[in-house]
Amino acid sequence: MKTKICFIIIVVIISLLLSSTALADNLNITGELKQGLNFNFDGKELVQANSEYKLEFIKGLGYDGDLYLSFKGIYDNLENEGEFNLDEALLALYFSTTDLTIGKQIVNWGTADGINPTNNINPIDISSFTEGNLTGEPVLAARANYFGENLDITGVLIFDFLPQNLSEMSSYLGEEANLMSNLDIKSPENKLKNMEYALKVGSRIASYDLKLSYFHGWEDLPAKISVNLDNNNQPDLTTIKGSYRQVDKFGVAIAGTINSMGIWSELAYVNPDRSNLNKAGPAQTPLLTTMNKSYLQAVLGSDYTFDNGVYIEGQYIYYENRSIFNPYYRGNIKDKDVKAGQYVMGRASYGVINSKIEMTTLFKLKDNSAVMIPVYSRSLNSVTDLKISSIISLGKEKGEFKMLNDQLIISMETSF
Amino acid sequence: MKKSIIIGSFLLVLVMVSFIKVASVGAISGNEVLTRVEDAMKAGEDMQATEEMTLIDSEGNREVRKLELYQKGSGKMMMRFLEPADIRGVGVLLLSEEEQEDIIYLYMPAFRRERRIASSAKNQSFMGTDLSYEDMAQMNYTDKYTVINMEDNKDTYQLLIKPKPDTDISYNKAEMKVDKNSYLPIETKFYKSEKAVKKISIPVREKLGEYWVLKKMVVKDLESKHQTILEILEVKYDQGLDDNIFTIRNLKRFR
Repeated sequence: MKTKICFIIIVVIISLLLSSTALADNLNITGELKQGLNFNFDGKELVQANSEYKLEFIKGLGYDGDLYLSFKGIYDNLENEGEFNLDEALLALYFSTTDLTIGKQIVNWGTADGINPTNNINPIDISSFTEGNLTGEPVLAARANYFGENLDITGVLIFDFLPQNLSEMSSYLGEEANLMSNLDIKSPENKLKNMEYALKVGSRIASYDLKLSYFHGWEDLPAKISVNLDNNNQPDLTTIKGSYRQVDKFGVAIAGTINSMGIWSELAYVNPDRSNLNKAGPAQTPLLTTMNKSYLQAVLGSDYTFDNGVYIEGQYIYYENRSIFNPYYRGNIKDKDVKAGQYVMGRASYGVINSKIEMTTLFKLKDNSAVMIPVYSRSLNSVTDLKISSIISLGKEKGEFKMLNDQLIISMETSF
Repeated sequence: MKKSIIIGSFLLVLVMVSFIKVASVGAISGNEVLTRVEDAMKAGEDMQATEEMTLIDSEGNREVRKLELYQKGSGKMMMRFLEPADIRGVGVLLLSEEEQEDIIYLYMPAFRRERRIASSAKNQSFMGTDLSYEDMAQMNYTDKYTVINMEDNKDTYQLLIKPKPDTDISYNKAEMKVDKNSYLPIETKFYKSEKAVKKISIPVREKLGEYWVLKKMVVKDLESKHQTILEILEVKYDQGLDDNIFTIRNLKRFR
């Protein structure tokens, strides 16, 4: 059913896109090509050589709307395999005080940089983390934005639950990733009661942007992982099963400036559906679980630009449910014994004409692990950039980021 | 004899007083010149323009960008890049109200979310150009600067201006050459710590109806020898631009 709705919407959009008597009339076609080479940090082994493509079509419907269609592709030059998929496909209609957007889309909420507890509509595209910014995967949704006098209200209805890609999360899930390699899990049935929805109200008060949000839907990662025990009373990983659960998330986000510094904060109160975790199937024992009580997630950050152009930023991140990326702990551990994940994220950058250097660091307090992502980018011409970056993880033995491979990445990106 | 001296002296004083009065009617103060500069720069109730921006580095390499610019009054500006492809859709919204800090949003299409820009970044280079966010906005000269000295030359006024106390401007002073005909600042040199760091000149200007158009503006970074040239390709004034243009909603639209 979901696939049919998605297919119908895409066909409608493509038809409208091509329906102009002159195809090139009001149609913009843009794209990106990126070639990346990833080396082990000692430079001795090429571990990845991906060619990535993006193609975008934007057709204007006068001042009343836009059609947007994008495709993404990736080709692994080492494995000689690739894919080319629909990324976003949406119709945006603009009325006097209301905008409507229908289709496969990305909806980004929040005020913080990179880590946004109040941004819950799209599952994270975890591959974007190593580029220094977390972005989301598009979902099939309908969004309505109402714009009033210093007030905007946004409602989103998500038709198709899209879970987090577990295989892509493996580097961030640590040892738990190995346990879940054979996970048998089903997405929630496509029923009205299972539909996700979200609401946001925003305003500017005394030059501060204030946003209140509410999300009701499914957590992107399975909440409970359970197994049968074998004859030796050990977990039989061939019987591993998982289930998703619903949550209610209440959020508040604020952004503004104080004395030339930018400041922002996000706070999310998460109330999970406990009934899902409390159900125990016959012969199933909890192997991994996530927090089964209400918890908080918060970010507090600030930035400043010096007269010489150096930009610095700092964020304190608090995830009561253990971690930004990995919320799992063993099934026999009680919620109250779980230590909150606390991080400090720093970013510094300096740019001159055609060149920019940037360093992003995410440091986890308590376990003293960190990941550092330095990036040097250089514009070779108006449409082509060369980037040299690295992923360096510290605190390898016990830290959260121990599964990340240290890499040197050289890439060239061109836009057209 | 005595009577003629008295009458003559009286007439002389009368002539001198008249001369002074005429002279004072013709004289203009530095702050008045600055006010007229501000009025000339804020041509029209609103403005909509398509501009070409050429960046030239110290080695002569060029990069050309195209952008659309909307301005309304002295408090609203929206700018969006049209070309090249890698910055297409990047936009800036600047909202300025009297006695309040400017509010600046930067929108990057890749992230689908607006970002609030700290006022400390306002004086920094905008998207690699020699213009800062502050430069991109219409200058409320009289709110932010005071005239320290003025020279009245044949065709120009030469002003020395300094930021008023409590204004958030990175420059210590500026030397402004004002054309007497148009009251446009045909050349302005900005200083930091007594060193000239930036020069903005208007080599081509054109009268469009009742307004002077800055057809070409050249911004030179005197330290890096980099320069940015802004040329207006198309401009319209007094279109009755809707306030909705100067909103985050419009900033985030696909086109």
